[in-house]
Amino acid sequence: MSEKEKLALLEDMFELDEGDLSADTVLDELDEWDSMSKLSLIVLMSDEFEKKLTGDTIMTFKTVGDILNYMG
Amino acid sequence: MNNILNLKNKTVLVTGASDGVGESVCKLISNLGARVIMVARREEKLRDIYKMLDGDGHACYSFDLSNIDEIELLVKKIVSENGKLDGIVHCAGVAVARPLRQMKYQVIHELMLVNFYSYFELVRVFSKKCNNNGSGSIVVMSSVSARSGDKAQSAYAASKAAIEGSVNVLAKELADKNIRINAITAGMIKTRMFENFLNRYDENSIEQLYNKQYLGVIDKENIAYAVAYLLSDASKFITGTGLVIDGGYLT
Repeated sequence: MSEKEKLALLEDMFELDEGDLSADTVLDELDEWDSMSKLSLIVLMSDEFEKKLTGDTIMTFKTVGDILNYMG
Repeated sequence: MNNILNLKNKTVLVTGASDGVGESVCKLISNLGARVIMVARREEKLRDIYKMLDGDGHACYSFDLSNIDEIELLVKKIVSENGKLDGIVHCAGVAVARPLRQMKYQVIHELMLVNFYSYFELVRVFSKKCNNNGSGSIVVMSSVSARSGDKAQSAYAASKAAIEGSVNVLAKELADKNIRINAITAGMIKTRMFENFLNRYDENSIEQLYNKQYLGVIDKENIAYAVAYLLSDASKFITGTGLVIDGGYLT
């Protein structure tokens, strides 16, 4: 999956428009980065990447780029 | 004084027996004299718990309860090998945490198979004359989510609400057969589901849980005590209800 496709998945998850996110986007500066979107991220990782994301790992994510790296 | 929770000579089928509340129920009711028929998917784990049971005459069956069409055959086999049943405890269940926007029909369907359809099929089959001893008690695990679920629990809450809705109707239908049916409306219990919750949610959500469930997270044994009571004749006037054991969650 290309970085563009991964970003599109995250934009869809956050209900943002195309191009709203980049690897440099700081998660804590996003209004949408709340407990429900963190839960959504766990589901997305499981559905799309077969990865079991935990709350502890989420706490290490600072930017969208960190999530993209985790997606692999 | 005699033990009022005596389950001697009662044969009880327990689903979800290899883990969590089901495991605690098997251990406790065997200690109270019941013959325990354990049903769960994981055969190895079932055998481990089987060895820990008190008394004789227990049996275990490895079975995936999402195979609804095979449940009647399973019960027939169990009855032919162990005699008719006196009770069912349905502890098997799965929890799914998914926000609405990521919910899929297939996820709801798979959850309902284990949490609701398998329970309903077990009750239907157990209620046949050929499978029970002319009376019985059915206990099914429900959750506070059936009445006040948290965000992302819509499918799980719906499955438990379906159970509670059916219990009060089935109580009336089964009364003529001397069969009682009750749910246990439980708060958060110290099981694998709780560990998953801790892994999945942030500190804020966990603090909120402790604020709501102010008596603390429930020990599995405390649920098993209530199951034993509902199986026993001590509770012979209780049917069609959801017994709330929630550490204060719903207050």
